[in-house]
Amino acid sequence: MQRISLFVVVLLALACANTKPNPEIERVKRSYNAALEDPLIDVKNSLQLLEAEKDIQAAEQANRDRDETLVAHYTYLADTRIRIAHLTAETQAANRKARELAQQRPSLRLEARTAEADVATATALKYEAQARELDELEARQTERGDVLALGGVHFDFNQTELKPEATRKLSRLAGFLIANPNRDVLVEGYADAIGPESANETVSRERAEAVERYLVANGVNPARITTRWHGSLGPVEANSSADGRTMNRRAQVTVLPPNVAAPPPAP
Amino acid sequence: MRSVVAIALAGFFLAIGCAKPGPSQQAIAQADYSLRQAREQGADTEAAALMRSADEKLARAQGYQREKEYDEAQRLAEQVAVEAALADALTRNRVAKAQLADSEAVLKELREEAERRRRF
Repeated sequence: MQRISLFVVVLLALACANTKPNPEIERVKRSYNAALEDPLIDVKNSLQLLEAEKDIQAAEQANRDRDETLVAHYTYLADTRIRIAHLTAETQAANRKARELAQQRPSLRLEARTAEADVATATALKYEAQARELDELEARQTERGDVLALGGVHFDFNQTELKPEATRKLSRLAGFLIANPNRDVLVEGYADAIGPESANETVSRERAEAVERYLVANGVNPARITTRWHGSLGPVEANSSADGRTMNRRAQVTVLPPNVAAPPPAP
Repeated sequence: MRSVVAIALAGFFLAIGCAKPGPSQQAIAQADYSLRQAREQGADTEAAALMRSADEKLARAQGYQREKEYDEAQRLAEQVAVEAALADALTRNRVAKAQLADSEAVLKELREEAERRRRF
């Protein structure tokens, strides 16, 4: 008889314990378990996760007591705490990374300075090579200086955009100018004789400016560049043939002699 | 039958025992403190909506406390405390990310400068 009553008590206890799992609690448990797996979170030291675990237990107790208000309350608390744990871990990771970057800064600053010193040495060593390069740029010695033929710095009709051949030569010229700060440069724009002269003036100016812009963009101090433009004046070929006109649509670059400024414009 | 009455009475007194003003008062103080901490971090600008709703909730908790609805007051105050902590975490997160982005930009600039000087 006693055995039977004990059996009944056990059955009753089981029935009581066997409350339905609450989907909200199950969801929070899953996100809690996911947080435990998050490599960013220092699980052992996360106060928020510890509190969330207590909240989940309280929610389960409330579910057994069939207190829906308390289930909602504790799942809300647990949910929010898990979110805080993720955010805090993310913040700490961002702060760690910022600290690492801050440590890299001095070495990068040093690297920038070293690079500068390297360039200075290289400049000295390369001076001869640069002079040869000026030769390679087909510089023609004139009274005014080394006039670069810059065969590539020709433009399409009514165009002021530099062609790739031109930019290749100009970037070498920029390198030369940076390495030789005592050499200034005179850039002159020309147009062919087609169309009104006012338009030719404009297009020749824009051609000179295109060259100037390119050199400046490549590190040449703009104070070292003088630009002039001549419209259709100063042709190198007759404007009667298409080939001649092509040769006339040009920008001419003169590398001035050492420590010589650009001559004043012709009257 | 007698035992059922005893259990019911015990439950009643237990409930009364829980609903003392002390714990809810403490929860409200804790919530208030958490809100002030979040505010110091700048949560009013970084997590404005959350802070507003937490403020309203705290006012409601204080209302329940005055009406001696201590359980309600305590629940709301506990929610306010975690909401304030969330606002605080969000704020710190945004600040840290902005600072990291700044550091990255500075470093990128330095790297480019080193690169430019190397190229000439």
